[in-house]
Amino acid sequence: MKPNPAAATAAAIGGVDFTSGRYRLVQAASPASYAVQIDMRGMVPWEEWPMTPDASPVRVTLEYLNQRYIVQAGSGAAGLWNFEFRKRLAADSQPFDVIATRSAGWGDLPWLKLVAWAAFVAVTLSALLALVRQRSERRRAQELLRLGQVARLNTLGELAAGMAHELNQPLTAILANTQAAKRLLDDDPPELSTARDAMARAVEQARRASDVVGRMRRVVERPEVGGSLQAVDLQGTVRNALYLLEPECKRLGIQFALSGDALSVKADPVALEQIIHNLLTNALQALAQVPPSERALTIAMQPEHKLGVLTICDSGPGITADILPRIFEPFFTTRDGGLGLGLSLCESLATDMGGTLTATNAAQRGALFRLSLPLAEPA
Amino acid sequence: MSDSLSPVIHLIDDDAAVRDSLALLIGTVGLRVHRWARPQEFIAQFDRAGIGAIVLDVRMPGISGLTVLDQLIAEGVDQPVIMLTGHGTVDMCRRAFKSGAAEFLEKPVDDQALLDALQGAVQSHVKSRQHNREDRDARDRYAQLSEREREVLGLIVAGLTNKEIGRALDVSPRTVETHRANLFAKLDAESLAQLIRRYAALVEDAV
Repeated sequence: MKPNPAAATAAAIGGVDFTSGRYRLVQAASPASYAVQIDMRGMVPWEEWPMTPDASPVRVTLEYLNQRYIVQAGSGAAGLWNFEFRKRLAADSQPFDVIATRSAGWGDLPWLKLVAWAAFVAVTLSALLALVRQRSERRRAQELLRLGQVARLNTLGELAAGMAHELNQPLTAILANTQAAKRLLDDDPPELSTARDAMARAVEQARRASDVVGRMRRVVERPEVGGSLQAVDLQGTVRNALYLLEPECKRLGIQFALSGDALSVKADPVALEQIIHNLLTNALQALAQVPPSERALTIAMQPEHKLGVLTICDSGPGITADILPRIFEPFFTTRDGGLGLGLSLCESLATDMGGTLTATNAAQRGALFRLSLPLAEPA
Repeated sequence: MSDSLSPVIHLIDDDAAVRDSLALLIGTVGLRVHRWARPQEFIAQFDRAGIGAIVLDVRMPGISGLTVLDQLIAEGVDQPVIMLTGHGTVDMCRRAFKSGAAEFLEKPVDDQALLDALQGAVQSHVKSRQHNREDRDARDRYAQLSEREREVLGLIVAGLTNKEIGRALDVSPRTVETHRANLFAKLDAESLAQLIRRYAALVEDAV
């Protein structure tokens, strides 16, 4: 059939009455024209509709000129926030606007999800914060330890300078007086009375020097540790000291072997900690002198009769025969800038606690320090 | 001027025992000692014109001996300064020498070391004062010369003979001879060598 050119003309809309939900489409053609009356209620494919028409809060309307047809009533525009979607239908003959409106109030917010999310974020953040704080606390603890060491050295330096001045003044006077006296006695004739005065003044200054030493001793005297003995976990103390020295061990790449049972010894916890820390620090310094592949540190604990024995053995250069007998002497040091007080203090502390500290060379190589302390009686 | 008087050692130390004993020791070799307990007092009052030396303790309350040293040098005090310290560090020692200390001794100080240092210091001070006086005298005498005499002196120092000088200045050798005699008289020189040694520097400065 030959198509009629008039049939190609667009259909026109007419008789729009949205209150009744009807409109007409007119197709003018020859020989006959058609008109279709459309009931809008039937137009919506409810099976495919994405929302539940009665329950959905979304209001959907169609608008044409000033008329409005409500497709889905929704909950109305009464809430705090209104979201609107507007689109013109893509049919030239029926230029309707589709408007979807969603109104939301406080009650519409997904509170459960919001709270859950907030809780999740809070937990994650606080976990991160705790991690950061833990790390910074550890760093701070190390820093404090280092600062403590620096402060102690500074205090010692200050003490040494003060001591040098306090002692050098009377020593200067003693030396000058006695040397002057000698010169006066060598004179011909000897100036006896001036020389006598000079000697008397030298004696006075020698007393002054001795007072300075006495005063200094009272200032720096170690508190007695014998009185505060208690049962202390030896292994725990060793682990604690190792923990503090861990960064240094890592830096030097030291392999350490810790063996032995849990032992409870009678000791002052702080003094014991100081002894072990000093011995370990010494060992690390010795190990730093040998190539990294040869660095080994062996720590062992075992009971012997009524004693708890801790041995710390390094694979360092060991102690030479001339140094060994003097190793616990105060102010004896082989290190530049060392005070020579570390091992001397360790030995005094061990003795004060009823124990002993000895130094030997290990059978294979390196230095071996042996700390014995009385075992704590079982409670 | 108290140059003619015997040298005085100024001893500054806040510690009476040290001060007295060192004074006694220094006194045994016949040197006079002036004791000072407070550095500020010493700076304000000591006789700058006198011959002698200064013994300064580094550690004193209120003011450091090194600060006192700096003040003395800044003021142009020419007495040599010997620093004494009970706990000298290399750094302190370097600072003292840089500031112009003549000697740096550690307490307790050995008598011979201190006395040697003091005698050396006094001798060098006497010498430097003498040298300064000679220098001043030479300047004064040089100032008395006439313009022509200075020209002649310049040429003598340059090594020219009388004849050459006469030719250079366009005068007769006899006139040069006269100038030369006047020069020797005015400058109090006994020989040509002495004349040149004392005045060559001044002539060169004047050119």
